[in-house]
Amino acid sequence: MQQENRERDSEPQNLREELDAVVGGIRSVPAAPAERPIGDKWGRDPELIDRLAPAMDFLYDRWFRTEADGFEHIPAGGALLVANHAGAFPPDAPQIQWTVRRHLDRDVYMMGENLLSRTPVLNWLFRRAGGIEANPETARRLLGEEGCLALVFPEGTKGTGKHVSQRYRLQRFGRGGFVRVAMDAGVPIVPVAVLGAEEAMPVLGNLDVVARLANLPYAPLTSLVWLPVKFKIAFLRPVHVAEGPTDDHTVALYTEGIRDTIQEALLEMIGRRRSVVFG
Amino acid sequence: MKSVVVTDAARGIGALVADALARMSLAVGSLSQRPSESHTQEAAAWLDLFTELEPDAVFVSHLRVRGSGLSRAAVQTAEAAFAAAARCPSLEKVVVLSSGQVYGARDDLPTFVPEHIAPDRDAPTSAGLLEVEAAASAFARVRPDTVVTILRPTEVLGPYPHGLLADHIVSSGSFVTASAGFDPQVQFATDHDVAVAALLAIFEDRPGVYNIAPADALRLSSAIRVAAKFRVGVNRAVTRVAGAVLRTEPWSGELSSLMRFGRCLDATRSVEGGFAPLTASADAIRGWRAAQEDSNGVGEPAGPDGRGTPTSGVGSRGADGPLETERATDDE
Repeated sequence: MQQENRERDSEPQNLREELDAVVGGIRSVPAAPAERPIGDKWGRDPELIDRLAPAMDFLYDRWFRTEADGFEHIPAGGALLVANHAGAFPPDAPQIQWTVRRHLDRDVYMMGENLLSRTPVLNWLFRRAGGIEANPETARRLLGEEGCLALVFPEGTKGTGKHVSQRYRLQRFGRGGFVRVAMDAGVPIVPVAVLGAEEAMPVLGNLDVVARLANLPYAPLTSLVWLPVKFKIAFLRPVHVAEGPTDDHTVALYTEGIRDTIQEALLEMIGRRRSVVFG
Repeated sequence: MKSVVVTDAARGIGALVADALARMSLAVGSLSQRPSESHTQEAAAWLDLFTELEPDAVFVSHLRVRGSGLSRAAVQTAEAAFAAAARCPSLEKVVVLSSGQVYGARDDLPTFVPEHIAPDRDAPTSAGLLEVEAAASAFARVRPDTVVTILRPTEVLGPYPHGLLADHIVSSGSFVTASAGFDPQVQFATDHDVAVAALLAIFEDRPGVYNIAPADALRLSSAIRVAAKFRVGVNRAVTRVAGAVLRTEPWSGELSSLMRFGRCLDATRSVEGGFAPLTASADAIRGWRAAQEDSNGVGEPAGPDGRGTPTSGVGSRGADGPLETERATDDE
């Protein structure tokens, strides 16, 4: 019986080999040298990231003097990192990506809004830095099947465009799309609290007319460069959303629960902070 | 299996498949299409061919999409072939070579598009293909005793490229225009791998829709570099001017979207079905480039239209090969 099964299993392979040989005999394509794969199939540019490593190290060690803890909460397989988002041109994503790379030697993809993929140059940068359009199908494959880490900012442009007076007051976390993504992919959510991004490039005002004309979500009045504030990143206890029910009410509860967890961690970190610049 | 009808055995994947079938001692039937031929005459001709040959399978291989979409004549040919096939009792398999272009090119598509994602009915290039796919589904309902397989290959490189982006790269000279500020992920398969997938579908029961794409993808800029060409980033609005200067075709709306958002197909289902291409995207480009250099001399540009000379075709078959009426004219 096992012999029969083996024979049946091997049939398609034999046929395929036969067909390969027949087609190859008609149009012999010169054998291409098997070179190493080019780039990353999701669009990340490892070579560019390696070239930028000295600049990233400088930002991480000297400019922002980033401190991070809670790496034990990041599972070995796939996980969705959910963080607060702030700063007119937010430095939080590269800092989270770099800290995970330095401490765990893992790459973090970043799920962004369609705005990034529609805008020239930003699209180019976003993709090469590991950015992927937020899409449930893509997330399921990236996280669930390939066991990667992805970072998402549920506040979106509501977080980055908010006035500095609103700093560290988390905006609404959408309709919980990120919870559904994690449920579908069967991976845990790791809440991430980031301290420093709000002050690194604070939004002092918004040029509404310019934003409307340029079809942008906001046109901030802000500093021209990231200010050298102290960055602290805390990876919090993972939430295993895939184990429970998946109805709307449960999704809303998870969404609010994760938002509250990050908000509380931020307030605690602010309470311990003595200086914005020195930490 | 004794005989197969191939709707276009003169060019592209259809020619490769027809030649392979002939080498395997199967009779291959095809039909010349003339623009002057009326739909009724064409339908009668298909019926005659099916009646005479009594094929076990039909391979709908003539669906080549250009920037303006699939020609009406191509849709009518497919419909006429399906109508004749429905009246052919010996028929067991129908294989349709559609295209990944049915998904369109949009920023809200997954990075790797699986088969269950709804096709883009608004994209001008997909409308004709979807009509043919719908006709194939209707055929499957009329003839539930047959196995209908629809193949949606990604961009295919070879002497006859299949897909707008592949066509653009192949037909461009040393410079390839691309959308400035964008560098999307793209995929390429070889015509060899797509022909093998079509043959597998002809010989084995693989009902349903399958993407034919390698598991990998690469950036458009890398693809152009591997093709030994130069990328010229231009704004969409000036592609006509840039095209005139660089001797490239102006972009269609779909090609413009592809240049910004790219399109990669999910190969999971095709791997399960045994269809998955064995050649990675970059190697598909390298193989195509090597074939170009072989046929044109290393370092020299490709032929007048940028394409190499096909090394396969109906003329290469043995004398005892196919039952064949040569295609007289190009209807597209």
